[in-house]
Amino acid sequence: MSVQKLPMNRMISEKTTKYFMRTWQLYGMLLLPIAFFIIFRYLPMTNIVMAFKNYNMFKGVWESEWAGFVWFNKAFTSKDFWNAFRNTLVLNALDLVIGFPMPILMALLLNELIFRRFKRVTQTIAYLPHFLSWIIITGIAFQILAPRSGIVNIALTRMGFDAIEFLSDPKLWIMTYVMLGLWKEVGWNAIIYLAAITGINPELYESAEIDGAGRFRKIWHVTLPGIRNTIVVLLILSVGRIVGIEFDRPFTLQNTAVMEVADVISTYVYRVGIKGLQFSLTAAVGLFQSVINVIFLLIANELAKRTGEHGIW
Amino acid sequence: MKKVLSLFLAVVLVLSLAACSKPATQPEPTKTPDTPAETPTPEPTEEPPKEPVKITVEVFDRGTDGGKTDPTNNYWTDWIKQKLLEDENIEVTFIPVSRWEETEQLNNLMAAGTAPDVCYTYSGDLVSLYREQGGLTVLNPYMDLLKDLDELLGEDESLPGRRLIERNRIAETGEIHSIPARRMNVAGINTFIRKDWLDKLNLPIPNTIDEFFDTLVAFKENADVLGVDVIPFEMTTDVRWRAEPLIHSFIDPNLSDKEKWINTVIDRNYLLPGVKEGYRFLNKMYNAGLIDPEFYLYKDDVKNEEYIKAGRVGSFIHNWDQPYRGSPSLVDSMRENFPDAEYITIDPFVNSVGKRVKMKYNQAGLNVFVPSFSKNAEAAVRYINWLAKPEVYRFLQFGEEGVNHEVVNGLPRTIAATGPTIQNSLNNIDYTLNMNGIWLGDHETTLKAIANGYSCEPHYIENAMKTALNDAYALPVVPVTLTVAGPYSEDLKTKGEVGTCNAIRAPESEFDKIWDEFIADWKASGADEIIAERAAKYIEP
Repeated sequence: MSVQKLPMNRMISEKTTKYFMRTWQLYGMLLLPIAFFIIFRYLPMTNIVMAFKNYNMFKGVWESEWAGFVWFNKAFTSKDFWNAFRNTLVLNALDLVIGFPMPILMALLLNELIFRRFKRVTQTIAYLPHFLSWIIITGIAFQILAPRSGIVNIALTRMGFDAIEFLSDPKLWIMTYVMLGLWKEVGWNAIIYLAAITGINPELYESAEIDGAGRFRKIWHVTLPGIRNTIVVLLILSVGRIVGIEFDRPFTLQNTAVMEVADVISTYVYRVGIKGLQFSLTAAVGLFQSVINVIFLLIANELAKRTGEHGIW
Repeated sequence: MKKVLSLFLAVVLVLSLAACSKPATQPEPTKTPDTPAETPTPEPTEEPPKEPVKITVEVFDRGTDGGKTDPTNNYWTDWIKQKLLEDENIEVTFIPVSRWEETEQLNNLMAAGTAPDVCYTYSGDLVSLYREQGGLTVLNPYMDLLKDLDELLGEDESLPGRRLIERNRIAETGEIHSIPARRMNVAGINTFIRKDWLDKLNLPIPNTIDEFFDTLVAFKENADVLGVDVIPFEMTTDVRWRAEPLIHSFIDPNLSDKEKWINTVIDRNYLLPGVKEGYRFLNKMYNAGLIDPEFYLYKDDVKNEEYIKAGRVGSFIHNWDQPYRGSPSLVDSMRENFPDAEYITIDPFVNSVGKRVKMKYNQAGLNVFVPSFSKNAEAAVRYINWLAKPEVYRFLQFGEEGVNHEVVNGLPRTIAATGPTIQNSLNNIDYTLNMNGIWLGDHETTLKAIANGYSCEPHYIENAMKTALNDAYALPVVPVTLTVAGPYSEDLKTKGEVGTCNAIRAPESEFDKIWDEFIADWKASGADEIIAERAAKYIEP
């Protein structure tokens, strides 16, 4: 029996069957993650309709009556919402400008260290704060930076200087916010770059050396191009989160003196939507955030592709 | 090997999916004696229900330290469970709700349909939000089961001719969705000052607001004599509470009850004539360095208490018995470092007609309700009524003689408990629900018994109570149903804290500008709408 004699469709189906017989276990294993995404990621998304309804917590999402764009109107006509939107953008933009390049720099520096043990210790110390919750970090920050009882200001006033209002002057608060975030995450974010650096072919460094490249030349012409892809992908992902913001960091750090710059979308939604039992408003704002984020993600990805990078898809 | 493993995984996967999709198609294994402890069901007798009815009941988890017990499972809950089973054949399970995240947690439980059969909250706004959405059981059919409770709650002192149990009746429909608790003690707030500091500096007890100011200045200037890093006046971001009598004394005394009721939004009186001047006085205090310069960072009492215990705080305003309550109380802890230190209550804030006004509580306290999805509303109501029986609440409040209290001069004196019989809330108010505080027949006796319950000498408590009730004022009760405030209340609370803190911290010259901006924003953020509703619905009591 020769293959050529079989009809075309028969041939395909036999090929498929064979392929499937060989690989069905892999597909079987894939079912579990797919089920996870459907159950925990896609099914909950259907609740987005809440944004267009007058959600009644006792009737449930589907039974509640439709409200159209009432909640979007409510958010978009609120001064507080736009204030929170602006603050979110400002804080995230600063996080991006300052917080994004620092881990790269850190990874480059660590990579140049010759004593391996010193490098490892430094790296560990640098990423440990990542595991502290913001509650703890805020507590530490208050102990150190409080206007009267913080040790920094105690030292300053004892030396005859004025106390610095790290926590209550709006501009300084923003700086404190960004710097604490940097301190907490820089070591952790550097890990991924360090991993990318390990993947660079050592022969490239050797040939660069033969060509007479010094330390900085090697960083500039070998290391950085070697991790460019990683940088671009992470940058695109960060840009895609530009109007999303975590909750605990601004919430724990904010205080009455700085609310005008510290109230962000997540804390606004918590206060007005969740505490005020206006879950539909919460959903509407969340949907709005996601749409903006996707737009930014698409733009960033497109720009990356136009400049000759791979992008994330 | 790989094949076996993947085959195994695939089988596990398929099985687990199957198990998920078909929860209970197979018949349950027949009732083999899985629970042998149950006694065989008795032959039908005149006893109404054979199986105990199961209900769940909310209890505050106050999360306090100092040897407190699990609020859902301790000496007191054991007693309730056993006695309730005997008396009413009801089996109760307690569900903890954090005292400090009450709103969020109750919301979650209510939305998920898992809230306990008996719920309670101090927030009337929350109750009306649930009611508006149809989340509460209408209790009218069960009112006959609440005989004992009705007797305990008695007349509604604010609405003559009505029973307190019907306080929350909706005027339009006559429906009752929640039952108020009766506050046996309506004392609210007091101003405390370090008596030993006054003595040390030879100062009289301040009797006017100006004397109060000067006293605080003296505390500040004599820090070296007092020997500590003095904080003359301490408070938190919750200014409207932590300076209530001071601010209250600036309110125009000629204002009618109606005006006050309409313009008081979510318990905040910012819009009443005169209040601004109260905050201006705080601004003056702040700029004179008399208020803790970090008060605007304190979202809770933690730092305040730390400083009070460290003996650094000259004066503060708080709950009428704040420094004396609990064991160890703030004063107890302070005296470990400064044995002579003492706080006394003062009453220096006099309004323009010579009254020392301050808030006091309304007779109706927290609200007890049954969610609409409760399957055991009747048992829940029977439980509420059962709690109102004297033998039940007396035990929960005072416990066993010799163990939890001793009788001195015919009055119970609480023995400060440290072991398993410790009470997580004062006189177990978190369990006695509708009975909020103790009552022994008349004011005099009750006050003596209350004073007995503290670790300090009784005269402190008797003075504190007297001061707190002196010229104290409670807003009138207007029996109408309000619905507008609910969604705005949390946002307005935050805005109120931010606005008042910023105004107090402003340079004196900028106070007006910052205050007026805050008020304009506050009104635009919902307060105007709330006031409009209050004005429209107001009826003469």
